[in-house]
Amino acid sequence: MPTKTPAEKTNIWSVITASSVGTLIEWYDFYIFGSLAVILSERFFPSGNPTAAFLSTLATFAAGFVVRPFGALVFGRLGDLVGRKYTFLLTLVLMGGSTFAIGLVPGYASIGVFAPILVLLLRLVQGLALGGEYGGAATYVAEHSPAGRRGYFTSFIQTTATLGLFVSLGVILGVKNSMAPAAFAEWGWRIPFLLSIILVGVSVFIRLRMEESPLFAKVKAEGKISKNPLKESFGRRENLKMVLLALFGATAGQGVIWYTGQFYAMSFIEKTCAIGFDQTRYITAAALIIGTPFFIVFGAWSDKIGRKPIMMAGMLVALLSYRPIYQKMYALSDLSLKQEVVAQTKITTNRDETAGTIIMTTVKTYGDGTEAKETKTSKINAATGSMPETKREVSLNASGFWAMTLLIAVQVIFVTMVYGPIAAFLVELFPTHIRYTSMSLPYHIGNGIFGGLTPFIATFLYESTKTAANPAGDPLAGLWYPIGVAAVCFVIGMLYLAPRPPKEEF
Amino acid sequence: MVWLRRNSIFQKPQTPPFVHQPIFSQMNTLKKAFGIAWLLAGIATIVYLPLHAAPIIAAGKTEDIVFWTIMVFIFIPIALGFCLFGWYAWKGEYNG
Repeated sequence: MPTKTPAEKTNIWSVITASSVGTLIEWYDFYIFGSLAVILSERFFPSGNPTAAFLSTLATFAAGFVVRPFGALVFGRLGDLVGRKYTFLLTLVLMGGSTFAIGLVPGYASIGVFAPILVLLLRLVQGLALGGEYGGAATYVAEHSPAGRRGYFTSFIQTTATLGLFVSLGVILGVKNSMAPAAFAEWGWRIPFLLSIILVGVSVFIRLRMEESPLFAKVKAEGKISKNPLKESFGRRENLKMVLLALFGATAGQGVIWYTGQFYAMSFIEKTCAIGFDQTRYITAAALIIGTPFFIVFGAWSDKIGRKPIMMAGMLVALLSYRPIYQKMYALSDLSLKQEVVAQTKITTNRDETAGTIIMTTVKTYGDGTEAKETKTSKINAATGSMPETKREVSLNASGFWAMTLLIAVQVIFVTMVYGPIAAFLVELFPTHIRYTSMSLPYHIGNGIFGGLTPFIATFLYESTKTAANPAGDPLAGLWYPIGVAAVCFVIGMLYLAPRPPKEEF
Repeated sequence: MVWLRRNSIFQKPQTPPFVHQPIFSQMNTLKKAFGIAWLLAGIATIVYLPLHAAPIIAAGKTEDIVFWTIMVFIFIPIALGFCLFGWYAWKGEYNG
């Protein structure tokens, strides 16, 4: 292992800090939109308006996920032409600016259809910026890292996506709990968006003081910069076949495991298991804290035994254990398996004449301490036979809470196995002069498309199992999507990926 | 260099060639055979996706139209990429 001088050691940590803080903020910016989706749709996309509903769906799918590979192409090309430093500075400013601007957009009630159009455009900018950021940060850190430590050093960049989610959950819960629910719904939701400008300002200041990547500077000094990175990356068979291998043999599987472990798990416990909003987020946040250090562990380990064995092992254990894990998660909140303490059941009825509703709330307590709150809302003048709107919320006891946390933490550890080494894996697969472009595209197709669409495709699969004979459907059916993609990716990775990266070039 | 000395074509092999060689050969055959599977899977996706999406899009529900249009327009190019990957694998581009 090459020995580094103290100055070089200081430099690598400055590089990691500057890159990681910026990337973390970009993920934070990206996630708060998703986490506040319900409030945003009330403010900008009213359900009665078909245009707004169309724009809402477009903002969720297109801007959130599909546009990311385009950002990878635009900014990847720029990064290979003008340099890593200025490109990922630009993506940071674009992301921070658009996030801040979302916090300022007047609601649909004030400016009508312009509100959802503005939000959609800003969300598109967010998606484009995110598509350009990650490749730049990973490349920048890898190109500063000594050979044999790239997995370890780039793993800090890998923690940022998870930490960004954690910070977004923390900020939202903090802001929400610091004010009345009505105030949060009215204006408080804007604070997490507006806060972004301060975070981005600090990060831009740090990044401005950094030097260009030494490998890119060398390539530039030697006049070996690619004239057309897109053509060289995807127009030449030798490179294109590696881009395809990176996508189908690594990033597609990594993407679905990432989104299953961190997003589908959260959606599953909130929607399918009916755990309450706050408890869902506390469980997820606790699981992320437990799992996050393993990014560093597996990143460092990949320097010793190679990237492939860890990533492939992560995919294999994930696809084999998803169904038993989700079965257990479902069982933890399954009230039919618990003994109800009938004597402790509380029923309250509220008649709200101004809203014209009757709200009946039933709180049931179970032998193990689990509580279930069922709220039935019906109209005072509702027609006979009409069904009331029913909402159920389960609150797990302490052991249930920690068991659920552990089950999600295990999934986060699977994520760390596939995601921890992948930055080093990708940067080592491509030559310096087209690295930013070549690695960004498979990463964002794998994560943005295969991964990002996981909750939607999984929900579609679950809904497809609902029949007249089985109206509840199979709650685990959605898992076949991540299992299928991870299985194909595992076979491709095992067959075609080299155990060690080529040593030339870096 | 050590590897070259041990594996030089001028040196008499220590073990009969069929002990090691068939492993590489079988692996390459497997890579090629799976290449055909990826190629066919890609073609199946390209055919199946529009056929499945067309009636759903025709039904006219806004959310379904956006979702399935995106699915078709995004996954068909990806499936084409998968076909290309299968083609390369079949032609031995990934052979060791």
